[in-house]
Amino acid sequence: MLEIKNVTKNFGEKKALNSLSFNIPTGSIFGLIGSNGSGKSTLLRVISGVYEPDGGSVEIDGVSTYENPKVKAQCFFISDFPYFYNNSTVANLSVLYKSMYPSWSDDKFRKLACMFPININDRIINMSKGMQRQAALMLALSVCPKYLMLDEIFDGLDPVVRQLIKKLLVEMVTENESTIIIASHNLRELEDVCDHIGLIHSGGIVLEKELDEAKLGIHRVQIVFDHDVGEGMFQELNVVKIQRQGKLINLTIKGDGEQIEKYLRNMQPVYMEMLPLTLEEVFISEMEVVGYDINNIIQ
Amino acid sequence: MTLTTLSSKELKPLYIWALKRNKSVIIIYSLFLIVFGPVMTMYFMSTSSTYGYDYKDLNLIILILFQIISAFFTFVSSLKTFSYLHNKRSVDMFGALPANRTTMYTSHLLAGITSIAVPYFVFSIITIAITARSGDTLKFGLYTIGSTLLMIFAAYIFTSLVAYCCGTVVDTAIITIGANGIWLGIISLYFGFITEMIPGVDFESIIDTPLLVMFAPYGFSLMGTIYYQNEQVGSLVSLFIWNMIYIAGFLFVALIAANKRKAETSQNGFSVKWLPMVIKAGASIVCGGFIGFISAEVSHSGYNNMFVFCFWYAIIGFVAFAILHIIFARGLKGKVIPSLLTYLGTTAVAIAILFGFSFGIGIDVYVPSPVTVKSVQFDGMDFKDPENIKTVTEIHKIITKGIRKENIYPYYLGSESYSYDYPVTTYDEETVTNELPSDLDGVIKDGEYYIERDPSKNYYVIGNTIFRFRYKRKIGFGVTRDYYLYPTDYRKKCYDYDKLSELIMKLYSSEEYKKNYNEDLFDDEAIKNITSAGLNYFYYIGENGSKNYISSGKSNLSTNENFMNGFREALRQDILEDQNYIPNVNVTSYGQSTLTPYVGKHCIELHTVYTYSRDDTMPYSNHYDYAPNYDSRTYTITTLIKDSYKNTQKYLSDHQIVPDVVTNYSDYSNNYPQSYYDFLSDGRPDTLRKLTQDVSVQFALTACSTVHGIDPNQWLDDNYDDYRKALLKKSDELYKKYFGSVSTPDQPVINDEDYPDTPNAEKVDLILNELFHFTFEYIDETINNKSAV
Repeated sequence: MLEIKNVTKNFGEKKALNSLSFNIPTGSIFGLIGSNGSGKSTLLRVISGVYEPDGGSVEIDGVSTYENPKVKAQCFFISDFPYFYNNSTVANLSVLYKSMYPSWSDDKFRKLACMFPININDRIINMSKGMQRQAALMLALSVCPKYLMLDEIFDGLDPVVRQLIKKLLVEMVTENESTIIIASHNLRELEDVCDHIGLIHSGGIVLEKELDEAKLGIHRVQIVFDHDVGEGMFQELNVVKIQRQGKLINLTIKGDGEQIEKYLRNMQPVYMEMLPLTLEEVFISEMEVVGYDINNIIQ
Repeated sequence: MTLTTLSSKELKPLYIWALKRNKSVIIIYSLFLIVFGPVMTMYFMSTSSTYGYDYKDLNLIILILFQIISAFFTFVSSLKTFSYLHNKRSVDMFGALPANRTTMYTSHLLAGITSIAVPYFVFSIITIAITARSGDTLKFGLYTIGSTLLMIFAAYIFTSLVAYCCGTVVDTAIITIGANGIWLGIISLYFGFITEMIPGVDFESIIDTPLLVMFAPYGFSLMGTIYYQNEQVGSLVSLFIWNMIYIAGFLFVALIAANKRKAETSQNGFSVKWLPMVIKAGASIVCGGFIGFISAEVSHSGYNNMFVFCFWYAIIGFVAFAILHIIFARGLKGKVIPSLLTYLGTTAVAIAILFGFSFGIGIDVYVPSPVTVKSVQFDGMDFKDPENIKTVTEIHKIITKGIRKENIYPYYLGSESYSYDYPVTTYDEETVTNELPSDLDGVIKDGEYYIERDPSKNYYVIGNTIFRFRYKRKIGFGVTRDYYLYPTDYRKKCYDYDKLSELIMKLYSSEEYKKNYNEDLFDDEAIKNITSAGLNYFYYIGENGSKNYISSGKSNLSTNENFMNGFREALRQDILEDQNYIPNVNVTSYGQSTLTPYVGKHCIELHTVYTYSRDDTMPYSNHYDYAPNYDSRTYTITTLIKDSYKNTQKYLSDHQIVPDVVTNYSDYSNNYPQSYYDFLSDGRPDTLRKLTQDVSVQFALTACSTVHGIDPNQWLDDNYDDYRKALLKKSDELYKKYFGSVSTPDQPVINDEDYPDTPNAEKVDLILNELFHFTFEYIDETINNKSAV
């Protein structure tokens, strides 16, 4: 279990993380989503021990990660722009990681070296952005970490490699019971691979749930009445958004699906359909709740 | 850095990784060392035909070159090694690795130091092995290696510390260079201008080695070389010890910084917020201070000195501050107002301190109370007698009473380093005679007050006098003061000269002064050493200034311990009884007889040349190359024997010591003119006349300056025509005396056939000596005639 307890991180006067608290269960793939500058990358850096929290702590199995080599040996972090020195190759980095991480697997490394279209003796800085990410991921997976933190890992990857990576991540979780935390704006990819999501905004947690639960907690309803219906009729529901197109009303409503359906049926609509929400729609809906919507940005 | 860190399993892979990162630096650095070490040595070996001397110089050049190269590469390598702190992406990579910060720092530090120290050590040893053919060069080489290795350690750790305090490589470089430069600047300011930072606390005794390299570790090894070259073994040892202490201190602070540094500082300003402010303020103080002090010195304008200082301090200090602000803030953005306020605050405080020291505390006119003083050094002499200490403080008070009329702090806390900057003033003879006090000249032994005649302008050029006071107080602290008195100060009657002269004479008449000044006479061991070493010269200067050798024909007396002890006893007694004792000064250096105190007195000088065994601790003395088994040193006792010194006069008389006039022209010169050799070969009277003409000026110059103590140019201006005619007449007489009628213009007489038993050169030397003596007599005559008129 990875516990984030009241973590606060300030950059000067700016609060990047503001008393953030939630848990990430072992063996899960946790999608960390949020607006730009919400603190996703900062949180990953705090979790992986790069940044020292100004307040609170990050604990793995009850032990703080910061300045704790034993705990950090179970973690691996790939930042949004992985760093490689001029003369770094996958081969010489593997030597470093092998000696630093006890969990390093040569078999895994060899297997991955065959799998990825990368020459391990080539200088990494000469590779494309996507190839560099593949190189970083190849090394990360060879470490076989218990906790893998990935920041914008899908950026610059082609669809085939993205599929491959998703497959490898799932395998890693099933085989090693690893915990993977992925911070990304690519919600489509996260939706495929994550079982938990955490939505953060302005340094605070907005939502932290299992993905299905998050999706089930918010609903889109298309409904048509043969009579005029004022917005006041939906007052008893937790309506996040109402859009009208003639007689067709689109509602985004939070709450229990069955109760919402029952409530709306009682209003005798001529047409009603409950539609599933994508993660992106969930994100937008949740962010609208906290005042982060396109209208506010335009204003 | 504990054993736990050094033995941690993460250290080795990180160390190797950091070492690999430095591969390019190691290769380039090694190439430099190879080229400027073994290759250069081999080249010189193949071209040098004389072994030994060249090797020593070469060895020195190479080792100093190695130090400079090593300092540069230490700087470059340390910036590169710790640049991982200054890139957000690399901070992510290294920060996430399973190693704590101490291990991370230690591994990088060790790798960096290895990459510089090992190549340096290897190539230095190779170079020394090739060049060092004696214990001297080997010893020097090992000293250099030791000091350079310590420099590499200290400088590397220092730069790493700065790297942990900065967010970017550029800032790290600027702060490192700035800190080293500013520190050396502050030290220079101290040595150059400020002899006492805190009133009553003398830093001079402690501001030596340790402070020199404290925040300037890059200067350490060069300082070591300087100390070694100057044979300052104590300073060298102190330098080594202090540098090791600094290494430990820097390491301790760097480890704290490594653990406290916020990773997010990378590419984002400074992890130690006050650091850029300190550097900006430091640069402002050093640059402003330098120009301010120099401007104040140059202006020499009394109270305006302070305003000149403040003006230039403010201007130059601001420029330095602004430049660094623009660099650190990457433009004019950043916190301009707080920065400006810091500058104004720093400037205000610095100026307030200076004004406060002067007008508030009165540091420039402060004179310690005699009862608090344990000893004082004045005029280069130590005084411990309470009465003499009191006299010195009274002298000091006379100076401080007049000092503000013309000059004011900070100018008057200057030390000797900048004395060469002081203006030289020209006066006409009338002003010198009528307006300047003459009785101080030569009395202050350390003083540089002098008068010379400029032959082309017929003016007198006058320098300044330095009064130095070094008080040691009973509580341990000291007070140090140097005062520069210009001739203009004398002319404007800034000081009570009569009282000043009276006090100085009182001081010099004290038994303590006499014993201190004539240490060799009053110290039994000193005189014993001299007599046992063997004296080569023993002469006194007579009434008319002639140099009289009394060792001539009696050289055994000067090595006779009994004779010397008797002479010493007589002289001791006379000196102690002398109520108007004046220490001897260099009687022939300054020319003007009216301003020199030796007139009418005798001066005894004892010179001894003795040998001693070769000293292996002096590796680069040229003596060893040409005369490896001995070195010579001259030891001199100089004192005055007045007419009133009856005991000494009697003692000398009892031993039949009668003045002998200086004899040989060849004692003074071996540079014979061509006409000398011409005369040797043809023996013609006209050739002797030419020779006489050629040596006439040289004779007069020598006689005037070395024996008579008068201005030769002036004498020649007044007397040359008459003197030349008289000398030629004398030359003709001597020709007749030595060669008689045998000579005719057409028939040379001096040849081996005519005088087979007399070497020609010996006869010609006799003629020249007689001409030389004639010159002495002629000059004496002109001086006496002038006196009579």
